[in-house]
Amino acid sequence: MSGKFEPKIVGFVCNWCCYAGADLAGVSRAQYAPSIRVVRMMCSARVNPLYALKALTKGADGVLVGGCHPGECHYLKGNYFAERRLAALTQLLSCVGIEPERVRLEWISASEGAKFARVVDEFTETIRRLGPNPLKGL
Amino acid sequence: MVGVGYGGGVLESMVASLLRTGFLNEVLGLVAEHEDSAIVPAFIRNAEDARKLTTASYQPVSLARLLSQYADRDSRVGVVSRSCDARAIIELVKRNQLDRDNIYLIGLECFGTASARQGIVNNLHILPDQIEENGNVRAWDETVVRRNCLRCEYPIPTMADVILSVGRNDSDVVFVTEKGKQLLNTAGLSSPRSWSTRRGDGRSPSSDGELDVVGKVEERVRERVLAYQQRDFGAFSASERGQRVAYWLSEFGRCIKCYGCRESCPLCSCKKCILDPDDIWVKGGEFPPDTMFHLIRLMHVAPQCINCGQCDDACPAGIPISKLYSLLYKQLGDVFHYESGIDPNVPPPLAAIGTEVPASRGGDHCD
Repeated sequence: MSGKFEPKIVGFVCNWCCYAGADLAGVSRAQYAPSIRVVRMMCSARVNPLYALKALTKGADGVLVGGCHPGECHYLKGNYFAERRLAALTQLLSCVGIEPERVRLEWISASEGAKFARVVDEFTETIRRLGPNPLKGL
Repeated sequence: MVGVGYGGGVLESMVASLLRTGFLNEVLGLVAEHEDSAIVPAFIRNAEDARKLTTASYQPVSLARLLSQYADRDSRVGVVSRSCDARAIIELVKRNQLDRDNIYLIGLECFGTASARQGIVNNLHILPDQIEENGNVRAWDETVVRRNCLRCEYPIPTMADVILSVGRNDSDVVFVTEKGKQLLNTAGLSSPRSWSTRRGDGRSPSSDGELDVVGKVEERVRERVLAYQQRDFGAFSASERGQRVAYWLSEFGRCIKCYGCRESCPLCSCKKCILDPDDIWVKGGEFPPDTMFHLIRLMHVAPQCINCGQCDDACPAGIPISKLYSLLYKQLGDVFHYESGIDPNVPPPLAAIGTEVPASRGGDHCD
């Protein structure tokens, strides 16, 4: 076990687009960082910002929220709602002193398996650079 | 009224008329039985009790909260409200907790209120440039004023139906809305002036010129408030992020989970509260509570926090709650362009699902 920091990322992904995209990444045997723990939600709108906060207070280093592209939400407007809530969350994080870059919202469609893998890799690097969650050990 | 002046005389005669004629069924305001009695909130139903209303610079409780808890929605009620109460009432109207048509907002100008920790405040009046107590005048003093009042950008409640001026020789009340005009006519004022004429004509409202020209007053207060906000939030934003987290966690660490913040907050009106113990988020019998307790309230209240400061006053541990909430509220203002408690037709920011994309989705707003 090296001393290198291995981020723990919780991913709240929408059933219709992002989860399918993640599944495609798996089926395609895409290689990407094993940092993400995926939680399937029916829609990105179902992701209460409090879930992201809970993950962060319980030791997750980063939270990824994945939804359908704007205009393509299975429930029509859910992803817009998610965008608003997560915009509010971003400000809350910066107010309290947690890096807002730890929560990332991405639009990933069912056919974008490669994108899912790339996003997880990029996000893992971002979190690695930010370091472990400041709430840990406080 | 208890004591002389400061808008009290006009308030008493107005309220007495409105109750006597039956135009209003009741009036909610702060009262004191005698000059030395504690100032408490009360629903006044008899004209004779109107004399107990006080305009002293003291706000022990949110009247908006009492209105939503106790008022009969069918009764026509007047509320003697500072900007904080008026804004809270409008926010509650947006959430269908109150009926705007039956509420008449009797706005009270306010340049700051004192905390109960100051002692007897019955004869304390905080004006734009000075503090008057028991007839003695002294310079405006930041240490007398509650922290949230120092941040407040709404000294004059333009979101109310009428506005009462609070200079020493009370003489002025103006209407803002048609409802307000009707209120003043019923109260016996034959040709009431509107807020825009008072503001526009630039004449001093009181006869001995104590209260400066209204526009200049607003400007001065605003400058002072923005400078204070700069100091209050500025030092804060400049700190290292790690220090900020440690600061808030140490503040929250003193929490004894008394729920005082929730109980005193006018916006906390949910019948079933997410913070009820032994539900999913908060464990009963555990304190200090999990950090989520504070983050949940912050997430739910801050987008429309009206900065009334009741939470600060209620907290036995002295946690500077309204400072964190107002800071977040300001930051969210730049993202959602939402002004809390002003226009009852504008939905709360997280209740409006549109197709527009908020201004900023990432990045730190503070530094």
